[in-house]
Amino acid sequence: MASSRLTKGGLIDRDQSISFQYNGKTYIGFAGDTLASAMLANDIHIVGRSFKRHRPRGLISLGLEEPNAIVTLSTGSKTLPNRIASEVELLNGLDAKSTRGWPSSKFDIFRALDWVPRAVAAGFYYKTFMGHIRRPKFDTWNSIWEPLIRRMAGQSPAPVSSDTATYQHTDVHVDVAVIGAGLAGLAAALCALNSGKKVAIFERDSLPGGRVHSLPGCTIDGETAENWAASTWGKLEEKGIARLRATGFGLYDHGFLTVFEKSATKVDGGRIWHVRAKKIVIATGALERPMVFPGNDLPGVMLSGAVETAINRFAILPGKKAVLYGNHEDLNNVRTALKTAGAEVVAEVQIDETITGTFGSGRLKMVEISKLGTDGLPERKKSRRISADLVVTSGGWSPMLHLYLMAGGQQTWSPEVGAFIATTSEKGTVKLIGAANARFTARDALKDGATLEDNNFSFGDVTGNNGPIGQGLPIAPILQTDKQRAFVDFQHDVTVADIELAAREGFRSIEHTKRYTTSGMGTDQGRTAQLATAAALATATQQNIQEIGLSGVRPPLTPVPFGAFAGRRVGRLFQPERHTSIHARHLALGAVFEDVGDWKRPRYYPKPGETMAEAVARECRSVRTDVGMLDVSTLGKIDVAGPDAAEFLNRLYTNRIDTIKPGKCRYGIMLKDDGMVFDDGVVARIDEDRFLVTTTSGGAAAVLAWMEDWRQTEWPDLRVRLTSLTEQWAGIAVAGPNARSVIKNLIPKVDLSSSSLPNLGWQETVLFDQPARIFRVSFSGELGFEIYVHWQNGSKLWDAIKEAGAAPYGTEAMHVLRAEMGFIVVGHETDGTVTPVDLGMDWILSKTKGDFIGKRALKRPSMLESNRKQLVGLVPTDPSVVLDEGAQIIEHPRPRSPEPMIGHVTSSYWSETLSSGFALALVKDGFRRQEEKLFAWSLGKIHEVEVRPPIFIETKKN
Amino acid sequence: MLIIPCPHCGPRPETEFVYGGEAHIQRPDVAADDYTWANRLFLRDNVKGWTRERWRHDPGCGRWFNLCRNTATNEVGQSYIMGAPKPPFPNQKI
Repeated sequence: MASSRLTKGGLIDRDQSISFQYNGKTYIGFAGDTLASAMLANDIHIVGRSFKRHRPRGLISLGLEEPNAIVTLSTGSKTLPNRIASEVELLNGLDAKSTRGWPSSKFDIFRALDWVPRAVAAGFYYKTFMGHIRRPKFDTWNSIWEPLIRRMAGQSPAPVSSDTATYQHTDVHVDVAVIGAGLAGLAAALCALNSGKKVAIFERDSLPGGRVHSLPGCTIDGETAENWAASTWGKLEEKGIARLRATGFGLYDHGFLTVFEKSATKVDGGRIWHVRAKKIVIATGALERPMVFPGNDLPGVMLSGAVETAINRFAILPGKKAVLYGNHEDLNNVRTALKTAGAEVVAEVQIDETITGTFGSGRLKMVEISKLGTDGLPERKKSRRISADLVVTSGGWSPMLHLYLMAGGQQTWSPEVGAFIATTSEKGTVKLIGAANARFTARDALKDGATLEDNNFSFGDVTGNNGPIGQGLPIAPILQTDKQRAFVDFQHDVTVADIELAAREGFRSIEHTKRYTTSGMGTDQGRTAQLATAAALATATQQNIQEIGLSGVRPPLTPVPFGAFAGRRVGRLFQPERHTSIHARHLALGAVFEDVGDWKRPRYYPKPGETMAEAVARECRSVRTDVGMLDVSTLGKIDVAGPDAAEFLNRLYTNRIDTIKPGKCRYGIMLKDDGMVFDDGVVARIDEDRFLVTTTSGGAAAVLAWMEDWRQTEWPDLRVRLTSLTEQWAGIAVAGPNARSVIKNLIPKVDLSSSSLPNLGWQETVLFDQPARIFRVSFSGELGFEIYVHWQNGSKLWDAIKEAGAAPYGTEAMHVLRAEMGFIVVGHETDGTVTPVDLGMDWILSKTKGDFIGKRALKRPSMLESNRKQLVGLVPTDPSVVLDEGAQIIEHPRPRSPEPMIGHVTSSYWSETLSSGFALALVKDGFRRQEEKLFAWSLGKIHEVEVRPPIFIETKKN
Repeated sequence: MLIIPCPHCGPRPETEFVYGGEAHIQRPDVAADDYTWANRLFLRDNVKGWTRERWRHDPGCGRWFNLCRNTATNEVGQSYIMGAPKPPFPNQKI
């Protein structure tokens, strides 16, 4: 058994030993241990190296505030970064590694940095490494400094494999949610339960009771506080929601609390609770602060509360010769605990003394205590050196207000308490109780909780050990001689000297000082650092600590794995896929899919051995020379019905809808009210008072929402009703010179000739015994039909058309074909800054309508300027070039710096028909640049292009 | 996360709603001048404190309505249907 472990006592089960690994070596702990306590019991004193100076660091606490013992856990092939060792329960086979130190945390060559602490003072990044900005030829940053700093600093390496653990989300609605199951929280939850309330209580520890396990001897109503806590927890579990290992990490508006519950049996996995409560009770207790003195970071310096926990809960004696140093006199409990466990208290630092140095290599061996002079500064001439292996330090206790502050609460400095406390214990529906409310003793905390509800709940009498949670005295002034080694933030290696440097450089606000020195910016969020930083800044700038205040807090309170936030929404459940009723046919043909909104659409259908370019060229050829077929079921379809349907659509579209006759359809564009193109599609008049509007596949939901907005809010007087029919009709486009002959046998009842079904006409018929619609529309310039049948008949229609001889083509060929005709696609040629005029589509703006959405905005002066970007065609001088979409258009073959960008490529493809690459682009003043030579720049490559009208193939008469 | 009282469905979590910006902005006549239209299209009061804004209960009843909300504290006041007169803000004298 390790030497530090006591033979008796504690809440560990000595019959259940647990084997674990730390930095590759195997150790033994017991059930009931945390990783941190097991490390301490095994005399692992160096738990990591500090962030910048690589000083050896030990455990200073055994709770969630621990700044030093940050480990990487491994499970299988997976790593869990930046875990606080004191928050990890010991499990068999646990594999932990320290996060810093090279080659190891025990021997670290970068320790050399510690001898020149000025090299890594506050702001050293900016001061030391930014020379390359002025002298770009000597870029030492990228070649030397950054790689070096990345090896030296940083936290755990980021995991390389995905988090395969299972995380759940659970929503609950309760009357009262209590965070923290110390005495106050338990009393409050019990009180609420007895008042008939629905209660949830969450405790981050694996045991209810909070500090009672560290401070034995307290009795409540005649039973030990431990037993009282356990039996109260039992009642709460039975009648409400009571969860251990569950940390409230965020408190949001309207009583919304988020809690992360760790798995009890695994190092990964867990559950996020979404709690909506009418009353939120914060009983998160208080955190102890270390004293600030030179060498206060040497392993062997521990907080008094942690020493009590080590002895009483984990049966570990962290040192045999202890020096006590607090700024309050309430160290009686820790003194008693140390003596009972067999340690010797070799010195107590008196009120007129301070520690001026600690000595030892990786472990405390000696402490130097000096008298304070009349000026308040220590006089090292009057010092004594004492052999010791433990400094028990306490700078008082700070109420844990994080959640309260997240809920909008305010804090203020209390000289009586020696801490920042809440200005009021109640903020809306949020209530603070117990040590979080500066009620530090067991009796006060219990009473604070028990009076939550207005009833006669009585917890009985508290006798015996009433807690120290010692009310701190005003914090000691931080006047030190060796400020370079007096740490305020252990995790980020910030000293009093760094804070003073920041103050000298003009930083006065705590928020700026925090960011400049990085004090409080570690994964521990500076829980042990905050107040010391504020106090040091107050002293350095001669401000009052109340004026300085503390820096703000944000969720999450403690690290929560990303996987927990994702919950079950990972992999296939991350984003649902939408499939058309023809999807199985596409799969059988070996289609390569692309995402269009949530839809999976076939992009192309490669034959064995074919490249994408070859497949797309083949598909384009079949449409231009024979006949192709495309699944267009994904197009948004909205039924617009009612006596005022025509008037309604007339106001939304730029062109006239009211003049469409039943049996006809028309291409239309919708603008936002600022004149910018929003969506396009075909509007078919089904009847006098009914239209079918098609939208882009990705824009259907947005268009319906847009229409609903105008219908409900601006024109409630119009009698019109909107219904989404997207998933009622399956559709297939048939396009190509032979389109008519392919479908004519399928639809014998419809005369497909141009006289009967002219361009932009449609007819109703019956297919597969159900209504069907044939539209004469084309998105390729070829003779085209779109046939719509009931959704479930999509595959039947597909099979029939394919059988008749049409060749399937995908969205890529569709894009090539439409771009050859200069047809725009919303989202390619438009980006929310493009008007129909910019697209050369003035013809679609009705001059005979009074008003339509976007009409007035097109008259604004900036819309009439000539140098707006306008739609043009581009053909590369070298026909084999296919430009990158997004390529920048410039005027010079050798760009100057800065070279003005006059436009960009919006669509670019290889045209089988032209035997050349071609593109559409938005170019400043593009309409007037016809035949001009410009240059397209992309990723360092420049190609000469010629400006053409945005139509590459002549329209054919069918 | 807010709880928003839908006038038709009652109190529901914010995730069920779509935000629609400041309420009670009149759409001017097409003949109005550039200044009036710029106000309509681009300029908002951006109040710190109580405001009236548009929300839509998207996956619920699908209806647009107006809501009083304090942008500084996220307190939520009365919701009311489109076209109804502006109710007073909480603690506001009528």
